[in-house]
Amino acid sequence: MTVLEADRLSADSNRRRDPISSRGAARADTVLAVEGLTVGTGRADLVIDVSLDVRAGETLCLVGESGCGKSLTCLAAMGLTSEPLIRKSGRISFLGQDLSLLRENQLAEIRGRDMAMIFQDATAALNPVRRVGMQIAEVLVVHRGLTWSQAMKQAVELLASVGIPDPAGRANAYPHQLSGGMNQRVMIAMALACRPKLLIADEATTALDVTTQVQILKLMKELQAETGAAMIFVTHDLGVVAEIADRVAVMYSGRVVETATVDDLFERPLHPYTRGLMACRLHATTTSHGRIAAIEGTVPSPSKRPEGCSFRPRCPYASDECMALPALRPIAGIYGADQHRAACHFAEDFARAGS
Amino acid sequence: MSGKGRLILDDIVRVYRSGGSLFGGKTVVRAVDGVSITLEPGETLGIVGESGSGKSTLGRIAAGIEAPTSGHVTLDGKPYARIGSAAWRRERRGVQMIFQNPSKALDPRMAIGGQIEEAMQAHGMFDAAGRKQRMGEMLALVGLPGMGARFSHQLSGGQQQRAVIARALVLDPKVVICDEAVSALDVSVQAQIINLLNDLKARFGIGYLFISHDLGVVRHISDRIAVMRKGVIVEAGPAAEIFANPQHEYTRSLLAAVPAATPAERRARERLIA
Ligand SMILES: Nc1ncnc2c1ncn2[C@@H]1O[C@H](COP(=O)(O)OP(=O)(O)OP(=O)(O)O)[C@@H](O)[C@H]1O
Ligand SMILES: Nc1ncnc2c1ncn2[C@@H]1O[C@H](COP(=O)(O)OP(=O)(O)OP(=O)(O)O)[C@@H](O)[C@H]1O
Ligand code: SF4
Ligand SMILES: [Mg+2]
Ligand SMILES: [Mg+2]
Repeated sequence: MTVLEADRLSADSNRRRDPISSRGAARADTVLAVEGLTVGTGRADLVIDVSLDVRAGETLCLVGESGCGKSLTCLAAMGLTSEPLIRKSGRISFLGQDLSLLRENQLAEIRGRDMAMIFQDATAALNPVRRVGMQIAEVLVVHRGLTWSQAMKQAVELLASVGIPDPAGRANAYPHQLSGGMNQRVMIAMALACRPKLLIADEATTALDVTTQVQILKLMKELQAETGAAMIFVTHDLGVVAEIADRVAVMYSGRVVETATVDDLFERPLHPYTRGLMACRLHATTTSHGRIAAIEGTVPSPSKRPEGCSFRPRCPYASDECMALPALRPIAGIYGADQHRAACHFAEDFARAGS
Repeated sequence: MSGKGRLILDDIVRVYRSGGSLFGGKTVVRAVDGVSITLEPGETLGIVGESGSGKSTLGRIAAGIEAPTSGHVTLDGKPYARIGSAAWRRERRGVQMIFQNPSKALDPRMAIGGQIEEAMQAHGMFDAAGRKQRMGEMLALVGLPGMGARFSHQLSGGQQQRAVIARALVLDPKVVICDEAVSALDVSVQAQIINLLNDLKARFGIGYLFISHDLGVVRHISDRIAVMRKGVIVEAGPAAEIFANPQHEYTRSLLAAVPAATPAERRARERLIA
């Protein structure tokens, strides 16, 4: 049985009315809109002026260098930043509602029911002293209003749908008794169980072998097609991006440096960092030897970013203009002009040269 | 394979039993079910396989931090000392493990630089000033320059992973078990770490047991590859051969499931299936 079938069996009448979807959104189908988000500590800004939006039924992938602020952006979008991290500016609206106007208990309610996040480190995110079956069942009881016996039955079905063998036996396991990829799938099952309107998956399939990954991505897409959920997928795996994304946002050193439709990004990456990333990929279909191409150097520390473009010290195209911060702006080109944005002074030139 | 082998695992079995029948059923898992592998100095053995097939369990046994239910492990011809003994602790310098879950492998109460220095101190390496210098060099090599004062909760997932890599490599081990060691890294940082591992292998003859689900990475880094499923190795051989000419049906299904390189390639495949 799939998640979807299992779900139809569950008592629909128990589902509570949804208070926020009736309130109008800025754009009818925008689920999450982040505008000008800056998050940091007292000493440095870690996420700077980030704007993102994702619509119902759409999948946005977030990629970028390790430490560039992808996870923090997601946490802030869910209202989960805590000391010493502070949201310094920016507006986050979920289904048209400004999250900063909500009290913590209202936020918690929305978070549990309408938003779900699959954390980067599943084994650490799960409760170590509770059986995984009970952790899934609890979500169904609290957020879907099932009885415990219904919920426990459905928890086993959910475990089966994410490909866990012997699901009834494994529902009894504690997280340390499961493999890394099994814990990831437990978290995915919990997130899907809520049938959220927004699903944020942070490196959710890093421990899954490719055959299991295919099944899981398919399951998520099926659920998305049925519920119209908006998805944000943080992943470094450009193959997963090619499989699942509608649009992609590339981050570097706290900022979004390029956004485009997935096709446009792969066919015509404009920002030198994005181009560098594409050049570092290792393919399973070719044999390579010796040193792998890497972007030379390291990301600047958030407290010591260079003046102007943060990519400047590593950029093969850097020149005097780059001492000024390039704006993220639509880049005129042959197609998708208003969709393809990049923050590089020479993006227009690259677009012309490539067309 | 030459006869000797630096790290030899012979007919390893690991069985886990767990009771508790809240959801019905008692569970006996044969996580590793008769695996034999040999790792030569300066060799990288890639381990790929189904999620839950026993790769991490095999890795922990190879590293000597978990005992097998049956079977034998030897490093340079010697079996590991009893887990927890003083001799065992000394041995650990020679075989390091980079864990799949970096946030759990790090001590939350100590800055990462301190943890790296403490690991060196435990094995009597250098004096305090030497350790500090070596710690700084190692952090720079993994792309975390000057970040020794950070605590693990102040690091991103990929930065935690690199801190664990630095702590393992700083001990100059003979063998490193890498369990999804680069899986949280973007492709550029991943390339830098793989180049670092390969440099150390060429210079010092380190052997790697490299567990990963990323077939592109495994193909590039491995000399040989073993494919695991349900606790057993279903196929093993030189890396190029496994990819060019997979024998086992499971290996073939793995290769067929590799994600598309571009959206255009994905659509072409979907048209083919439809
Ligand atoms: N509590 C904190 N104090 C100081 N710096 C922090 C704190 N939490 C995170 N950071 C820093 O913020 C930056 C962004 O972290 P984030 O976890 O969002 O990165 P990421 O893009 O998700 O990286 P990865 O791909 O490695 O998971 C990193 O440089 C990290 O070191
Ligand atoms: N401490 C434990 N108690 C009970 N069962 C365990 C324990 N550790 C592992 N197992 C089981 O052993 C099997 C193999 O787990 P292992 O972590 O080795 O798999 P893996 O191949 O590393 O998977 P993944 O790719 O998902 O990380 C799984 O079925 C797991 O549930
Ligand atoms: S603005 Fe200059 S330094 Fe920055 S990416 Fe473009 S060319 Fe490179
Ligand atoms: Mg992260
Ligand atoms: Mg594992």
